[in-house]
Amino acid sequence: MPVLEINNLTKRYGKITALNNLSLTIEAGHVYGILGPNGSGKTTTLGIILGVLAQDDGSFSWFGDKYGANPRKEIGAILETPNFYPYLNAAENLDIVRVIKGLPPQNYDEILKIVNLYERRKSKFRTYSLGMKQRLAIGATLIGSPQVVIFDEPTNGLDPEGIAEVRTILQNVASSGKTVLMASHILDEVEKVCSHVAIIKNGNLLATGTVGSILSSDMTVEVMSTDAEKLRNVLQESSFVKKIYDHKDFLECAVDQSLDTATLSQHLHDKGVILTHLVSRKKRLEEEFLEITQTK
Amino acid sequence: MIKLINLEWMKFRKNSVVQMLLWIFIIFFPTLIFVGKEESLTANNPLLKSGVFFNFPTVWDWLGYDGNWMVFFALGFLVVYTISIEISYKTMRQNIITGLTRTEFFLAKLYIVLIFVLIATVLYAITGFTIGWFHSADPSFAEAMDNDWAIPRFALMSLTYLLFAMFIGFAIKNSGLAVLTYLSYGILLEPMIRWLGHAQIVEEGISKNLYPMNAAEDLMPMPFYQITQNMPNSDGAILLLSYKEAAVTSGVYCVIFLGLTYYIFLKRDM
Ligand SMILES: Nc1ncnc2c1ncn2[C@@H]1O[C@H](COP(=O)(O)OP(=O)(O)OP(=O)(O)O)[C@@H](O)[C@H]1O
Ligand SMILES: [Mg+2]
Repeated sequence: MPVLEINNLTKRYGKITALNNLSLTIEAGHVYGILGPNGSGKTTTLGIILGVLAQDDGSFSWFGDKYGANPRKEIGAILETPNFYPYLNAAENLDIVRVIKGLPPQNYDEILKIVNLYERRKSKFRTYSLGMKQRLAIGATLIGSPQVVIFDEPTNGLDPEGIAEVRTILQNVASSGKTVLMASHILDEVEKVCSHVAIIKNGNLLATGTVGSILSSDMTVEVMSTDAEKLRNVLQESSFVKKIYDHKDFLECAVDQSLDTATLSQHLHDKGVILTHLVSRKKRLEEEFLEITQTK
Repeated sequence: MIKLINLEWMKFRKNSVVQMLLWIFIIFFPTLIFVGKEESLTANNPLLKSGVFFNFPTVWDWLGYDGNWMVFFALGFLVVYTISIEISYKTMRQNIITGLTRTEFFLAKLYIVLIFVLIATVLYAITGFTIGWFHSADPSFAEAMDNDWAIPRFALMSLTYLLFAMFIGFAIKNSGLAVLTYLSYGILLEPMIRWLGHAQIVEEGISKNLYPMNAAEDLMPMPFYQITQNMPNSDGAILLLSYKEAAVTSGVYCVIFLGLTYYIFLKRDM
């Protein structure tokens, strides 16, 4: 069962179509990046699935609707800017999050240490630098240890040092086994933190898949054989295959750029594997990718 | 309910504006009547004897009129403020994202209103009773309570003001504008609409008195007006609604404000 299923979401602001029939599926354990230039609809998407914006069309479902109309208590999320009560300190602000989530009283020292705010825990939120605010927001998403965390441009506006610090925190969160959904307009960030990516532009989904297949300079091939097990074994032993991702109907491999499909096909044939499916992808996605970086 | 009230308490107990205005209300509401007495007596008004301020049953009128202003300004301001800063800090949006439902957020604000009404009414009852008891010649409980339902009237007046404040707080997203609209509607805009608009265009009669702030005010009117109301009136203008009319009108507005607030808040994007 997917953690989140988005079906044909559409959102219009007057004449602007901010989201156009967007569909995505996010499985447990994915670290999913939504990559797109400014104004592409990332925040709009997150706002809808977090219940603060109403879609004009389409639907979404969290955890297979296990938690009914309000699944948000099972999710830790920030949207755009960190939003806290400026006259309260870090612990007091975190306590409000805890009460809303309906959790018993707890000590926030551990979370504050993770986001490197322990020393400043008694300072009022309004006295924090942007980086500190952003880190407190990340800390707030960890309260109650939710299975899913959502970040919207978590490094926005930070200096290089702050970016590095936040990224390390994000990488740690991601490797803790949580499902992560992160919006960003920075390719590098998604590449470093995420396992999967959806590229959107002008509210349209351009591409989606593993980061390896979409963002790396390697070529990606989809292959399938009547004997999937044997196919996998042969691929694993081949020197030109860098990585293998499982899909329902095929295997996706990152391979050397220099490899062409004829060679691959011949090689597999020589090893006794008969292919039923062979697609190489590279050009198309690279073009889309270029388009995005140009808009930036 | 306890959870939501506790949540609001955690949000605002350290807010200096909230602290300050609550103290102002608690200190000045029971004491302003003493200042009022001095002022009115030095004006040497023939209609007034000193006793009228503090004796049963008129103490309820004077204290009620004092409370009329205090609830409108101090508590009404606070209701608008505690809603609109949550919009400007975007904590309203964050509360929802964190896991509050919209209905819960709405209820939490409604509970603030109800608690304020309770505080104001209890303060009114205790202060009125205490002042009257010590100043009346031979006080009795029956005499103290012979006041035309003053305590429920005061509660309904407060509720109407504060539900209006809540409506403005939710409806106007800019916090400065919300506070300004609330205050200026009550003291300027509505009287202008009534006297310069309605009275001229529609009619002079009672219908111009059926506006929300006026209806609430007439539940605890300026005692001078009451006195003049009983005197022969040359131009026939009706200054006040009767208590019954004011109560029914206010009640209807309470329902309207509540319904409208919930409706606009439930639908809109944040
Ligand atoms: N409240 C609004 N009213 C009108 N248009 C809006 C509103 N919010 C968003 N939009 C429009 O919707 C589109 C998508 O905006 P969105 O904020 O989702 O983009 P984004 O991908 O998050 O961009 P960024 O990287 O700048 O955060 C934009 O064209 C934006 O102008
Ligand atoms: Mg955005």
